[in-house]
Amino acid sequence: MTPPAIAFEDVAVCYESPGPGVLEGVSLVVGHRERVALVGRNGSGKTTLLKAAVGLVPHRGLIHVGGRRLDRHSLGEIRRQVGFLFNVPEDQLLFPTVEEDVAFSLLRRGMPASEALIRAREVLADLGVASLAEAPVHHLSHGEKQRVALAGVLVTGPELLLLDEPSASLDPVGRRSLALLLGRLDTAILLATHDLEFARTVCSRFLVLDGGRVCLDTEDPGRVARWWAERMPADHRGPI
Amino acid sequence: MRTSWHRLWGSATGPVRSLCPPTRLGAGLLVLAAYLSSPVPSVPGTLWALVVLGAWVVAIRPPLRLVGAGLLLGLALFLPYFLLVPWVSVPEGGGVREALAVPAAVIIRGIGGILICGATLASLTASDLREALVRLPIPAIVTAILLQIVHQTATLASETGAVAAAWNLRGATGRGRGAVALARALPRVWLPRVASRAERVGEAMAIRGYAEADPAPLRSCRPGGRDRVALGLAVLSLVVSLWIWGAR
Repeated sequence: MTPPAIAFEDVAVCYESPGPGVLEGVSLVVGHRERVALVGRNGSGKTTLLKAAVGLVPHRGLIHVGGRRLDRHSLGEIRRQVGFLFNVPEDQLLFPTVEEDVAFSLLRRGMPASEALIRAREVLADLGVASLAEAPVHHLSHGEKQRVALAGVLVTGPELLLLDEPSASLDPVGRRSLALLLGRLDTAILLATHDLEFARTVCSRFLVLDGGRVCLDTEDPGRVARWWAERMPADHRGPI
Repeated sequence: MRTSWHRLWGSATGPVRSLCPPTRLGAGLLVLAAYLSSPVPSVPGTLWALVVLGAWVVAIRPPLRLVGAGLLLGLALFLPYFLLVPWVSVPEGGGVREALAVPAAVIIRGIGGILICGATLASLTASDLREALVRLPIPAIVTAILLQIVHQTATLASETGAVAAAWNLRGATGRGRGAVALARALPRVWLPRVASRAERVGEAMAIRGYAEADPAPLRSCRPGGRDRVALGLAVLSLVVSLWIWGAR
């Protein structure tokens, strides 16, 4: 039986001790090739949960990625099999040109440079940004940086994608095309967002995180919309 | 984002641009060493230093605005050394001429050094710099750090520009109290932003395994006859500088 893409068991994160926990007793499972949206308000712990999944923040509890327990021995291997898209794409673009940045992910895995460049161009073409292959990353728009960062993640064929607010700062066209693109992928996705419309297009299951805890786990986006509506100020309530 | 820092890279149009990236960087370093080791302000040393500087700038042909900016920066940085002339200790019997020689040497070396470095950078794109560094006998971690310094500088410039624009918009610039408020707020506003960015980039490096992988060249580059001539001339310039220095 294929193990779940990722499983959190009673995970807690506390940045300052003593102090309130950012995450408290979070338990959830994302199945093989399942697409799950992690929805919640700003500061609800979505990004922290994603970072905990790749060992970027210290946590209590258990995290298994692809059936393998996350600890300091498995950290490197797990990071190699997970694709992580940061909230600010330019933070993860570490090379001067687009193709070099995308190819790096493959070079790191031992692929020869000539093959890595060819594969990088193929993925860039899949994402509709082949024309940017030789462009300096500092010359790209936010949406283009988002796609290039995603290309750097997808080029290795990760088994699990962790996406932190991928639709933030994208215009409606960019948001829609990114949603369609993610929808075509054949991989498990855990997507942190407060963009419910985007989450609906990409995911089939929705988790609501509030105050560091999972307070709703549903396949019905309508329930999430109602949850949001209940938290709106009284004079702004209406359909979302 | 387009910053002048980023536009500087690869902006030269001279024949040096056609050489292999490691040749460009290696020759640039040799020319810099030749320039700095030439004994200025002695007449032969200064003349040879100017010949080396002029030849390198002509061979690279960087944009004129880069040369102008380098000159201005050099003057701003090094001209104040002349204010120290009254305190320079000169040998017994020495006069103003000997006292002026010290800041003059600092200025000549400083400005020339800036121009040689600027021109060398203009002969390389950021990708060329990577290709050059990974082929030179430099420890991998030093290469990785140097490349990130260059890469993140443009981002930092953009971040600084955003802070400056926000201040400008909110009227915190100008003279008097506005300028004082600006100076006092600078470390508290700019530094946390930069620190936060550095933290996020560090996380991205950890996830992508940036420090784990030894940097490898991406493109093939076979040095030809022109590369050998360029390196030979650069070595020769260093030898001549050392000879003049020894013959003083």
